[in-house]
Amino acid sequence: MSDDINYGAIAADAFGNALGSSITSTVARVAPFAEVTQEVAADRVSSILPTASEQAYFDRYGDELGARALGMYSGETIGGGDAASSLAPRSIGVASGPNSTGQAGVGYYVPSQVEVSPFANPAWQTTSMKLYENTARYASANGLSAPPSWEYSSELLDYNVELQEWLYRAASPEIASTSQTVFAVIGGAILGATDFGRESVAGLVTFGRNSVSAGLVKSGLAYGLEARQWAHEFCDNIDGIAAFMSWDTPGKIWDHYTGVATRARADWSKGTVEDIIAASRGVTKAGFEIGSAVTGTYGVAKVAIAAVRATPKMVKMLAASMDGPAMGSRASQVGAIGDITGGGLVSRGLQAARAKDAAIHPLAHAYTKHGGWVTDDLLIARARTGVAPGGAVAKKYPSKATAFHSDELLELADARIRASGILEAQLAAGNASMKITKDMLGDLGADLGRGYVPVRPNVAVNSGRFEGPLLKVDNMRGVSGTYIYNPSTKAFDMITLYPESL
Amino acid sequence: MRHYNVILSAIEVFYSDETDDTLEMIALFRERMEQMPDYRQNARRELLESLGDAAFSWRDALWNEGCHVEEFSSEEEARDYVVRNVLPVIDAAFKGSGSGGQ
Repeated sequence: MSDDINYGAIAADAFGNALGSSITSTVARVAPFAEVTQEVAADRVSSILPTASEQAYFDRYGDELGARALGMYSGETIGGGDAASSLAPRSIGVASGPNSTGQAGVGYYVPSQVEVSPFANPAWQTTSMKLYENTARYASANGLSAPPSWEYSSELLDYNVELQEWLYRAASPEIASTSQTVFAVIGGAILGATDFGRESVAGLVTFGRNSVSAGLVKSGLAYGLEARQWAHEFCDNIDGIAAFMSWDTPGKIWDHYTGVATRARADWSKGTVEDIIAASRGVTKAGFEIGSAVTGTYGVAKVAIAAVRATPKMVKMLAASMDGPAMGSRASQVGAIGDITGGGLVSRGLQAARAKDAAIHPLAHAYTKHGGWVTDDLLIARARTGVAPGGAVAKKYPSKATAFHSDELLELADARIRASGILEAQLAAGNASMKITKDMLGDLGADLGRGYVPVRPNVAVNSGRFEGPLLKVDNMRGVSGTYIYNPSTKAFDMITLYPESL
Repeated sequence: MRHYNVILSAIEVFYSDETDDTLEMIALFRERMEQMPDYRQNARRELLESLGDAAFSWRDALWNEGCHVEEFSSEEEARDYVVRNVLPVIDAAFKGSGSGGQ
């Protein structure tokens, strides 16, 4: 085998793309089914709501609730037609008796174990096939034995773990050193998926409804147009959602996954390979749980589909909440569990995680492109290539690429703008979209950030005329930015802020 | 405050090349104009005045150190961009708000 094999790319492609695209394709595949079932969805919601006496029973036996709901899912044809029959599981093993998996979260019931097989869950069927295709391709390219059939997901996952270990062993010391974090993250992701497969789906139905209500509605993981689309879909079943939210304690689910992210962040910060694996493992397992669980609840079709669409974002947000040691590790983390082209989403998640309580618009890019996470390497890359931190590609080279030294300094600049009265003055003059220039506030009294300025700025990307060195500008003490007034909240939502030299 | 500040700010905020999702931002521009009568009226008034202002350069306004929207090789192209891409959104906001051409 050649020494110049890109192990990170192999692992990310073999596994990350498999998972990311599987979620996407699952959405695409299940969506028509959702259309078929739309008309019966409302009836479905009401029919699976418990009566008062049932509720008392379910409160006592959480696993029985899961079994009942799953029985409806597997035993009935919803909507009819090929779509329904193709998605119907061939076998679902539902254990009887008390909760057999214990309390997986923070005090919420976990239904009985359900065997995870490609036939038991639509999400896993696509995942397994994609995983097999990629694994087989790389196994063949490297002279390894063929992986087991995609139908045996647990064996396939085991095989991927072995493949991962093999890649680790095969790496030269140099490659292992430079790719160590990448390997650890990808490896952790595979192990996380394996954990999920072995432990089965925990809280299939419970998780579905709670991830919608708690994860999306309460945590604001939806953005922009998608947020409106989801909101529309929620409204299609608003009575069902309201019932769901009062049916259980949805906040506990989100609390649980906040805990997962917190633990992962702590593991990550330790910095060892084993800890990074543990961090990635935890987050990836969480992603699988969310994805599979919500897909499995498509008895309430529109709601479930909305949740499935949200899953990659939720996973990425969890990943983004971890402070990786370098851009590569962050990107690899995302690649392991989702579409790596969604780097902008990661940054949006980061932005939301750090500023969810501030007046900042969901479409903002202040933190994404100019926040404290942006390294000098990213700034240089942006100035050289037009690719901004977060992955967005500009039509032209920027005239400069700048970033705050820290998020705290960004927030300091924001606070100074808000305290200046400039925004209110513009609003009073009949303006709702405010451009703040560096001349308005002048020197803020602190070294806010730095940037790279091309010697020949403003030259088209494809012109071939861009050349010459970059000039690094330190000690930027001014700030520019944009805000939009929101008449509903009466707040000035930040769009962007960036440090400027005066 | 600079001349044509409302329309210039709007274009700098909603049409910036820095924005990852320009279509969403433009939709937000329209939404905000529909919500705020003074804002949409100022935006349209300033846009029309600027288009009749021979001394004003839309080419310079759309691409400079502090604003990256589009870089044009001539003033005519820049104005054509504004007429084709900004004015219809403002008109749509007036229609959407039910105020027509008021």
